[in-house]
Parts: sequence; C-alpha cells; structure tokens
Amino acid sequence: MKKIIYLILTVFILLPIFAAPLQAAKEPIAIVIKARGKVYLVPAGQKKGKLVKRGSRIYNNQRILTKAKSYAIIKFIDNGGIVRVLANSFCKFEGKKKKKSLSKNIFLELGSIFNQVFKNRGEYRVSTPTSVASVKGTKFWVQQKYKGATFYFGEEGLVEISNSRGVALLRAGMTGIVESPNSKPIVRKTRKNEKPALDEEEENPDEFRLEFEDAQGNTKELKFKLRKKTK
Amino acid sequence: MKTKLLLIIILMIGTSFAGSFYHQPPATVLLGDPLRLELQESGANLTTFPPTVYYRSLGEFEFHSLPMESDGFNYFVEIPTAKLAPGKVQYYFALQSANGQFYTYPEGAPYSNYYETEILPARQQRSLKKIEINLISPEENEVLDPDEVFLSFSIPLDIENPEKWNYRITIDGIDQSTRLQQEGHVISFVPGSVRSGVHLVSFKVYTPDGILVGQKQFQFRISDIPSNNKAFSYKGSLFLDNRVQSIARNNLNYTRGGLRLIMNYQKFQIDTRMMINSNESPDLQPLNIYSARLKYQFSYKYFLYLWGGDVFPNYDPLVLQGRRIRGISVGLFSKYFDLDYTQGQSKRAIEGTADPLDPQKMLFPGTYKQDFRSLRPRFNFGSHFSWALNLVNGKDDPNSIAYGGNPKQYLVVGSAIDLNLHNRRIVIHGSVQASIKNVDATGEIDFDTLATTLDLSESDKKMARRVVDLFTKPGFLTLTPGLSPLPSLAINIDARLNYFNNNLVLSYKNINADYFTPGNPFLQKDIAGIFVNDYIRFFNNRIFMNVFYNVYQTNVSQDKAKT
Repeated sequence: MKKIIYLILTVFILLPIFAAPLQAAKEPIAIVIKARGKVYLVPAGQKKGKLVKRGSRIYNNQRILTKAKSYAIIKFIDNGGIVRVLANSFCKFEGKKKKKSLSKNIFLELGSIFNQVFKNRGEYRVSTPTSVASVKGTKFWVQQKYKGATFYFGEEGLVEISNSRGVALLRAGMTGIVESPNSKPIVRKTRKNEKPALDEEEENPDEFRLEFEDAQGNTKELKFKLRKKTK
Repeated sequence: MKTKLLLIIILMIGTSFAGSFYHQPPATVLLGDPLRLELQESGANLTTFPPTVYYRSLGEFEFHSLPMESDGFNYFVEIPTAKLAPGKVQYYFALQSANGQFYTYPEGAPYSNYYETEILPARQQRSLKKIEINLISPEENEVLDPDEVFLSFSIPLDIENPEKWNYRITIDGIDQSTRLQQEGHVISFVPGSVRSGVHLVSFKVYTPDGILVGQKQFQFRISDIPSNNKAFSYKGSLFLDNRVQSIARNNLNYTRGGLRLIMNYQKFQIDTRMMINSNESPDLQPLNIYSARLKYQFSYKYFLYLWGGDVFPNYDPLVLQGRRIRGISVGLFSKYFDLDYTQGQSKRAIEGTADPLDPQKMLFPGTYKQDFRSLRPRFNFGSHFSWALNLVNGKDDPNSIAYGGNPKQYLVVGSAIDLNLHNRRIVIHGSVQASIKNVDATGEIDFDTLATTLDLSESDKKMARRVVDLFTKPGFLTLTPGLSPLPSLAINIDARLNYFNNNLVLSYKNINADYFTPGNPFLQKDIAGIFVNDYIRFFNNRIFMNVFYNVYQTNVSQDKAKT
C-alpha cells in the first residue's frame, strides 16, 4: 500500500517537471484570420474537428477541413505565408522552428489552396500525395483531386515541383500536372477556366453610420455602405 | 466666538499642512535606472506615517504604490523603472496627518493634478538590436466585423524565453496589456467589446530588463454592421446642466440631469431615456422625460418596436411632429409595410382657479387632460415610393379638472406620398390633410339642428353627414354644438432636386385658418404660397450661396385685423 502511495506521490511531483517543457513547446504555427461557413480544425490523431473562427490557433500537425461553400484564410506566425483553403478541402499544417525561421509545410490531401508566400521567411513547401512544391516568394494554386492528380497553377514567381521521378519549374501563367507519385511533373500553359477561382465572398458590406438626434430624442441615421469595387 | 476661533485654528493648521512640503520633480531618468523622488517637510512634522508615492506610466489606468522612507524631514523613494514604459510617468504623494486626515500632494491628485517626469529609453541605444514585430491580424487599416475583432502579433522565433519579455498594448491610448494572451512567440488580444469606428493600436515589446526593442503602431476600423455575437453590449451617456439666467427681470433658472442607456442583446435593443428637471411641477406641462423603447431588429432598417413613457412619434409636419405623448407607441418598420399606433396623453390636466369668494365662479380656466391617439399605416413600393395614411385624434377629458373652458376635440385624417428617384437626387413629398374640430364638446345636439345652426348648403350638409357618421361612431368626435363637421384642409408639396451643385427645393403650401392638429399645435396656419430655395455650391464646396424666392400670403381667411 505504501509503495502505491509513494508511486502516486512521485508521479504527482514529477509530472509537472516533465509537463513544463511540453507546455512550453506548445506554440501555434499559424492563425486563422478569416473563416466563412463550415471550417473545422482537426487535431492530430483525431477524426472529429471543431469549428474555427477568426483567431483560432493552428498547432503543428493539425488539419483544416472545409465543407461546401466554406473557406478559410490562414496566416503563418512568422508572416511567411498566407494560405487560402477553398471549399471541400482537407490539409495538414506542419511547422518546425529552425533557428530564426519557421519551416512550413502544408500537406494537401484533397481540394484546392491558394498560397501567397513571402520572401526570406523560412522554407515554404506544399506537399501532396503525388509531389512537393518548394517556393520562395510567390503566389500559386495547388489542387489535389480525390485519389488522383495534383495540379499547380502559377500566379507569380517561380515554383519548383518535384517527386521521385523528376523536377519541373512552374512560372506564372503555367500549369503543372503530376498524375501520380510515379509520374514525372509536367508543365504547360494554363488553359482557359482551368484554374480555380476565389469564391465570391458573401460578406456583409462595410458600414458606418452617423447618428443625428433632435431635442425630443428622435434619432435619424445617415448610413454609409461600402462595397469593394468589382472589376 | 470660541467656535470661530477654533475654526480659524483648524484652517490655519490645514493651510500650514498643505503648504509645508517641498518637492522638485526630477527632469528625466534613464530607463532601468531607479527613479528617486524626494519630499521635504519644511514645517513641523505633522505626518503620522511616512508618505506613500503613487505612480503610473502615461496611458496606464491604475497607479502603483510604494511607501517612502524617512530621513528626518526628508522622505525618499526609489522607483524601479525596468517595468515602466519609456515616456511620461505621473505620480503624487499621499499623506496622513496626526489627526488622521488624508492629504495628497499636490492637492487635487489623483483626479486633477499630478507631478510628471520622463523616462528616457536611453539604454536601447546601446547594443540591443531592434526586433521586427509581425502583425498577424488585422491588416493595417483593415475593416473588421464587430464579431471578428482579434489582434495578434508575433515576435522573431529566435527570441528565447519569450514569456519573460514584457509586452504592452494600448488601444486608443488606453492600456490593455493585462488582457494580452501569450503562446510562445505569439501574443494575442481579444477585446471584450469595442465600439465601432477607427481605433489606434500601439504594441510594444520590452526585454526582460524593460528595454524597448520593438513597436508596432497601426489603425483598424470596426464596421457598424450588427453584431451576431450573443454578447450583451451597452452604451450610455449622462449629463447635468444648470442654468441661471436673468434677462430684463425675467428669470430662467433650472437644473436638469439626464441619463440615456442603450442596451443590446442579440436582436433586441432597449433604449432608455430619463431627464429630470428641477422646475417640474404639477401646475406645468411635464418637463421630466422618461421613456423606454424596446426594439426587435430584423436589420438596422427594419424592426418592431414597443415604446413606452414619453414617446415622440414623427409622421409629417402637417400632422404629428415633435409632440410629446405620455403613453405607448407600437409599430413596425419593414420592407413593404410600416405601422405606428400611439395612444396616450398629449396634455396634462392643470386645475383652473376659482374665485375664493364664489367657488362657482372661475377666475382662470385650467387645462384639460388631452387624450391622444394616432395611427399611421404606410405602404412601401420598392425603395422609391411609399404611401401613408394617417389619423390623429386629440380629445380633452372634461372630467379631468373642475375649472376649465370648453373641452375640445380634434381629428386629422389624411395621406402622404414620398417619392425618390435617381439615387435620391429627386425627392418629392406630398401631404394632404383634413382637420375637423369640435370647440365645445359639451351638451348634445342632433345633426339637423347643427346643420341649420351652421347654415350648411345641401351639398355641404351631405358631406357633413358623412363625416359625422364616419367619425362619431368610433368615438373620435362627439356630436355637440361646438362641432364643425366640414373639414379644413392643409396641403404641402415639396420637391427637392439635387443637380449641378444645386440643392433646389420647391414647395407649395396651403394651410387653412381653421386647420388644427393636436400633433403639432405650433404649425403656422392661414398661409398659402410658393417657396423656392436653392443652395448652390461653388469651388468644390468651398463657397455656398443661398438664393430663395417666396411668394406667399398670410391671413388668407382675412379674419384677422392685423397680421
């Protein structure tokens, strides 16, 4: 009996000592800066997620799942990149601290993401079941078909697509295709309507009001509604 | 005499106490160096305990305190500046006299007066490198929904033990650092409730030694769109006003205070107002205002409301505008249909004066309580055209006072249209109202006798019969000798055109002399004419010119000797 008590006491004394570094190591790698519709954060090793909102933290190996008509915009904490996860997508966020920088990897299992990567902010990679894209300061799309090919669409800068079969460079206006892990990446000119488009944001228009009140307390409001000019 | 002498002695002691200290604020101090404050007591030692110094950095809400040490007539304290922000530091001394009274030095602290000194960020010039603060959310000048206010920063990942560093955030100059949340190199802030509008944020990072190594300042704006958040929010205002006026032997003195409180919970809003006036009296019409309006908001524009207390419905200047009704008002504003129904009292009963020698004889008539009802349905056809019907009824209550003149009844019915076109550059408002009044609502009379008394023609009689039947049955009017069954008319048509830097208003107005509405008793009557008014803007709205031309006639009825 005494042994059990000593054991319990030892565990209770040692637990905080071991838990402290674990706690200290818990640091988000990215933050959700916008979420619309049904966007879930799935912790590592779990199947069910919880709804995210602006400000939700993403830790290493956590995944983002977006349902239909939903999207999320996620920013890495080192300001190294912004990812827009489109509807019906599933991707895992990985981040490893390397001295001054954060080495980032997004593993896209399904769906489409748009990446805006800033220069000199640590390594940034997007991996899919078929290939890996490494970038330094660029904008590009990645689309992963269900149990199928990966498509890359260059918007700006240069993207290196690679897998075990080869390497290809993707430039702005080009489409990179990797049919499977066993096929070489191919790059060609982007065709019309091939590239995913950013969903039309069904957001509330920006508003601000000026309130006027007369001596009787009747109020009238002058309300300004601002919408972004669409091209 | 003894009491006076005692008071003088106490006053002298108090005065001598207040002026028996000397303090010279230090000009500046380097961050990290102790801030030494000295307080010299020049008179007799009247303090029981050493004084306490209260200090804070500019922008902080609360003061920190430190007891001073005594060195004869000299008190001193050394404030560690490592945890203070560079910039101004405000401080004051608190003392307790031998008789137990508390004093502050300088006088008036902490409310109106303090000493100030400045902490210089001198040490940061040494070898410390500035760090870059990453603004994660929001973007600079971003417009956020009220439910999405979230501020987040990150510091370089090579900083070791970031939890030992100090972080300060001020929003619109108010220190909110205690609410910062830190997770490793990420520092976040979620405000409880922030008003809409532009906000200035300043975020500063200090080393564990208190040296400023980085700062970020930016603005963002919170949109005015309704919050979907379940959180309760409120805003309010309070005022106190005193006026003492004497002009040409006319005195106007009053004190009034008011409170306005607006509370929101989900789609509900309650707007309460209270104003208390020192001149409130049962012999005057009410001056105090009490009201509460409960709204269920479908959106900002469309809502259901229940308004109680002193309500101020607003229909049209010819019908009901600026009139206080003590009662209730219920209504709806929706896309296709608006409705308002108000019931209450538009005048308070004030008893008249009887002759003290002969109580049957009235010297001055009082004011009857006036019961008031109004109804306005309005139909909206898109956002460009609306058509409203209205009814306003005011009836004196003859039983409300013992000494009064003839109790009166008023009814106004009419219609108004509003049209706006070309993005409200063309706005047209038309209103046609008919008023019927009964200047003596006592006694009884049959319609034929009334018609004979008023010498109505056959056609007028027919019309009067219809009016009487229509409005006496629901109780808006009573058939008594004072009834004038033929309506008096009021017409107002306004057209506003806003083109070519001109704001041109064309109005036609024709209000009969007998027209009267209990909803706007100060309406100018017996007037007809055309009013043209143009505001012209020149040089990109830097010069304005007002041109008007009015052709109108007053005393149209020619029943007044002078106008």
